[in-house]
Amino acid sequence: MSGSGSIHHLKSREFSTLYPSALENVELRGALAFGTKLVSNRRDNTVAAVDDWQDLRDRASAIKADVMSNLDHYLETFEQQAQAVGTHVHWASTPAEARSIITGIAQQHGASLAVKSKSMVSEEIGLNEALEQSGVRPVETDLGEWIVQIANETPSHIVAPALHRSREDVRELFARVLQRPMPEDAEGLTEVARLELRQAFADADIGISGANFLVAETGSFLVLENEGNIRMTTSLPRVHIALVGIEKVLPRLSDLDVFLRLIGRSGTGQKLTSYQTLVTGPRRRADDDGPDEIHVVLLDNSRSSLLGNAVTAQTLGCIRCGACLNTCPVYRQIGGHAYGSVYPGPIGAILTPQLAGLHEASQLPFASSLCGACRDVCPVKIDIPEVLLHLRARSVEEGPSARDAVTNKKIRQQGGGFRMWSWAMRSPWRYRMAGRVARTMAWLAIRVPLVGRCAGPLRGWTAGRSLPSPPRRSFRSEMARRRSERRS
Amino acid sequence: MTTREDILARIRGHIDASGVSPRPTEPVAVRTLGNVTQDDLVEEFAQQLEGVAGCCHRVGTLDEAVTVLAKIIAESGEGMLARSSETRVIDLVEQAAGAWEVATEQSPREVLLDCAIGVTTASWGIAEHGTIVMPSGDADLDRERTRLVALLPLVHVAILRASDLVGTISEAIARVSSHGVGDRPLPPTVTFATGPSRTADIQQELVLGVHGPHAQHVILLTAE
Repeated sequence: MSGSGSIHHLKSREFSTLYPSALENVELRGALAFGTKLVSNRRDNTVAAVDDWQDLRDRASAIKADVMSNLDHYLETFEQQAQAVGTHVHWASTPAEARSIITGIAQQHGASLAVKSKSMVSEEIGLNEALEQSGVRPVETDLGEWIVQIANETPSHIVAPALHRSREDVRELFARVLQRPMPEDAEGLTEVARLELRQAFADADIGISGANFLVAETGSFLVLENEGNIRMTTSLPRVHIALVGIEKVLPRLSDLDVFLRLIGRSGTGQKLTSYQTLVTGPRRRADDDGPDEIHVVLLDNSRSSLLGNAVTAQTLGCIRCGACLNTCPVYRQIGGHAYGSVYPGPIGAILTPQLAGLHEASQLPFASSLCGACRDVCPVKIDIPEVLLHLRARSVEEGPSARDAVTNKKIRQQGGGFRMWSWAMRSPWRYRMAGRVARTMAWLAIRVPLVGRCAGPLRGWTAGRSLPSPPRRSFRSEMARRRSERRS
Repeated sequence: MTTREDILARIRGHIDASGVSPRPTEPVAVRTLGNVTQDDLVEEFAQQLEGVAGCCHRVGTLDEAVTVLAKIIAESGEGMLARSSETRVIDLVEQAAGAWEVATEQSPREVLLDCAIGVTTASWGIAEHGTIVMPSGDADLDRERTRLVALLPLVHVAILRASDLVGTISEAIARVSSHGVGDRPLPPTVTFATGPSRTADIQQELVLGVHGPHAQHVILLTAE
């Protein structure tokens, strides 16, 4: 079963052209190497200080398995409890439905300005463009997300959206957009952003956020952050809308303890992020602060189809901490934009094709060495390599229509290689002959540079590497020679 | 079928097709720090809060609290202070504010946005993280309106009784939970705050103070 949903501005079919240009971008690779290494070291250090880390992961994984095995029940419970405290619950099968629910609420309130806190689901459905089209100006308030918004780009990391930009980059961007000289230091630049956004908070008609967790038992949602922009977004505007994937529900309030212990450490190497805001309905007293109206929009967008298989269902356990991105040897080299999806890195390589359809992102499951680093750091124990292999197998089983041209070519070439292999392994003389041919070819590739450059499908490998000298004769003939020497 | 029924039916259908049977989990016991005294909790809370660049002031008497607050105010130069309407907060601010103009939780938002210091109480503290917990909008819990006063000014001062300290986040959640049993829902918002607001979105460089308070003070009343 292939995902039939969609992801806004998806360009994963262009992966084969996006990643080489990322690899050539020296500045990008510097920023990536610095950022990812720093955060994953921090993560490793904070995790090492937790004695029961593996028990915590087991518990989190069990809770997520519980949720996925009974998701309809937990969603219904959430809805019932949320409605009981006055929260409006909406259901959206597709991004288009979610967009129209949200723009509808905005129009109903005559809203012209919306403050937003970072939400990957909002990126997934292209909410900002939809808001603009319906006359509402969306302002991103997370610093990193604001940077990418004014730069007119998409986030390159699910936790640190502007990870790909250096401080100097950001300074030039601010100076260009705000048309005035900018301070050099991060502190000064942060202050500029704070003052720019403060008025937006004061004036906004609606606040829009995602949610890290929904709690079925109490009808609440929890949002995590460091900057305080989510506290502002959920406190100041009269109307609040939380856009959430259906997989984010947890059974009980007490389950939050497990996930809070895991998520900060995994995501940023913090024991706990600065703020957690637990929202259970709009204000109940006229003289209290906070929104009069709260909406939760539950989005499917093909998530439900992942439940059809125990392997793919794991994907829905993801809590979007970003640890797999920071540790991934591929992400560390090419960064987020090369994946062509709002969900990059190892989790993006399994989530993107499953949501948007394998044919839309068939190269991504192959863009991994299956080293398993992502599986080791995942706080909810998603076996990402297992899902990658599952998707690779599926793209072969489902045939060329499930893949793009680049993947098709790759699979043809691989198929050719495996056919040669199976031919050669069928009898001893074929094996010996294949060995002789391979040794000759390797010898030629070293001696004659042209051969190395024209290595056909192997060019990607030979272009940047020199082959070791092949042995003069095969292992078998070498053994035969030694044996006859000993005898004589 | 409505979208809602559609989604629920799809979920059910896919789960059935996968052959996965329900895998229920049982709630686990509240996690504690074990056998600890209130002094241990005070010590741990202060250490953790200072570890995230917050300031913990341990005071025995309300007079000492006045001195601490007056010092924080003096260090902030001049400006306007916002306070919640909890009795003790009113008292403290009255004695410590000096020449500062005082706004209250009822003041218009524009005024609160301009305040340099906000003073409220916190309902609970979490020792393992140096976290303060502030519910809002619940008739029983809510002694005051903390939501904007604790958020908008650059400096937040929270008054916390040592007897309201718990060891873990799990215990704090249990306290919050116990106010939402039966027909009574949880407070509309519960804020957990650990130190000042921070970001590292520009080249992973840590900056303290973004949209939330730049400084987080907790005046911990150890005799209560």
